[in-house]
Amino acid sequence: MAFPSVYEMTNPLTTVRKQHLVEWFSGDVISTDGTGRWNNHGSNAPLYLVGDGENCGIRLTGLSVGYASMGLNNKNAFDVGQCTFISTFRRNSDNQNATAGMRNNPVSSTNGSYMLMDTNANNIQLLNNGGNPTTTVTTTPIHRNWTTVKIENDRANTSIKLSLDGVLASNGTSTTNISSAGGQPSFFTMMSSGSGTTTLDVNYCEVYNT
Amino acid sequence: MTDFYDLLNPHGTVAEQRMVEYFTGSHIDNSRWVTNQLTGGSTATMSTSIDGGVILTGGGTTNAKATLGFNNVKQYTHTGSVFIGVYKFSATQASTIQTLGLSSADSNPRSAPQNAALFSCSTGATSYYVESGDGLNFASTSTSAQVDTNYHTGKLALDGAGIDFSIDGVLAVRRTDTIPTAPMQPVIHLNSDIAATMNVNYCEVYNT
Repeated sequence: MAFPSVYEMTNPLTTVRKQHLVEWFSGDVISTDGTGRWNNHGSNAPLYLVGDGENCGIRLTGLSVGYASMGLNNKNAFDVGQCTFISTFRRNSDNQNATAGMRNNPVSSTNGSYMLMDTNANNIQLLNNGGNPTTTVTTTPIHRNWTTVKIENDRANTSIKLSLDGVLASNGTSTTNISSAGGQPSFFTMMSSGSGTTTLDVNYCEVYNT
Repeated sequence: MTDFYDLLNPHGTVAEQRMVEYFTGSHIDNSRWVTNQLTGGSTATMSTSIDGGVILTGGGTTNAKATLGFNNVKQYTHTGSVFIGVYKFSATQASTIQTLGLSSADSNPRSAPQNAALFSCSTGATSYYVESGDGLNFASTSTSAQVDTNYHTGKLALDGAGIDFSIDGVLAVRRTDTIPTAPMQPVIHLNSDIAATMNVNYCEVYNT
C-alpha cells in the first residue's frame, strides 16, 4: 500500500503532527558552522566530516584533550522527557566516552536522556537527568559495531526505555528523574582518560515528540 | 522491509516532485528556503520552543511582512498537487494576516496577478478562508472553520478544477473559481502591524 504523503506514513491527517526530524547524514558536507541544521558544540578543533565509504554517514572526531559534540545550536524543539530518539552509529576508539541521545545542552548532562558507551565501564549505560541524575547500567557490553539505539522517553508513563538493535535492553529502563525540559539530539565523543583522538560515526538520526 | 519509494508510490509509478521539510535544527535550510520579503523589522528564525519549528515574527510596524519561499522556483503544478502544513497562529487580531500554501511569488504571494492557492487567517477574521489567484485576478471563500492559537494541520489539494482545503483531516471548503493556471512554490507568509508570530513545524508538497 502506498501512502499519499510522508505525513500520513506516521500520522493520519486527523492527528496534528508534532515536531519530527529525520537526518540521513548523506552528501558532500554536513554543515556544523552555524549555517545549517547541525552545530558544533565541541572544543579543541573537533572535526565533523562526511565519510567517503559504505554506510559511513558523518564522522565526529575529538582531538587531544578536547571533544566533539554535535547538536542543534540549542534550538530545543523536542521534549526530552516525551520524545523518541533513534540513531544508527558506531564508536571506533579503544579509549572512548561516546554518547548519543537527547540533551537540553549538548555539553551538559542536566536535562538529558542518552546512551553512554564508556571504556571505563564494561556495559552500555542509559543516563538521564531531570535536575538530578539517574544512571542505568544495562547487561549489554560496550562494543565497536554499528548499532541502532532507540530511547523512548515517556514522562506520562514514568519510564525511559533503551532498546539496542530492536530489543529492549536488559536492565535498560529508567523510572526516575525524567526531564521536563526542551532538548535536541546530540552526539558526543572524547577520550575516557588522557589525551588523544576518538571518532564516532553516525549515519541516521530520527527524533519525534510523542 | 520495504523501501521509502514504495511506501509513497504505487508499484510501477514514476514518482513526481515532492518536498518534505521538518523545520528542525540550528538554522533554516537556506539552500531550500529564501526570505526575499522581510520588511518592517520582521524576522524568520528557528524557534527554541518545543514543537516550535520555524517562527515568523512581525516587526511591530505597520504592514510589516515576512515570507518564506523557494526563490520563485516553481515545481508544483496547478493541475494536481497537494500542500500540507502544521502551524500555529499567535493571534487573530484585526491587524494580522497569516497565510500558508502555494503561490507563484515569494513576495506579496497573496495578491493579483499571482497564481496562488492559499489558506489564511486574515484581518479580524474568526474563521479560515481560502484564497486563490489565476494569474489575473484574486478571490477568496470563507469557511466555517474557526481560527485559534493551537497547532493544526492544513491541507490544500489542487486537481485542476478546484482547490479543497482541509483542516485536521476535515474538508472545510472547495473553491472552483479563479484557480491557478501556472506552477507554484510553497510559501509561508505573515503580514502584521503588531509583533504577531506564526510557527510552522512541518511542510510537505507533492505533485499528484
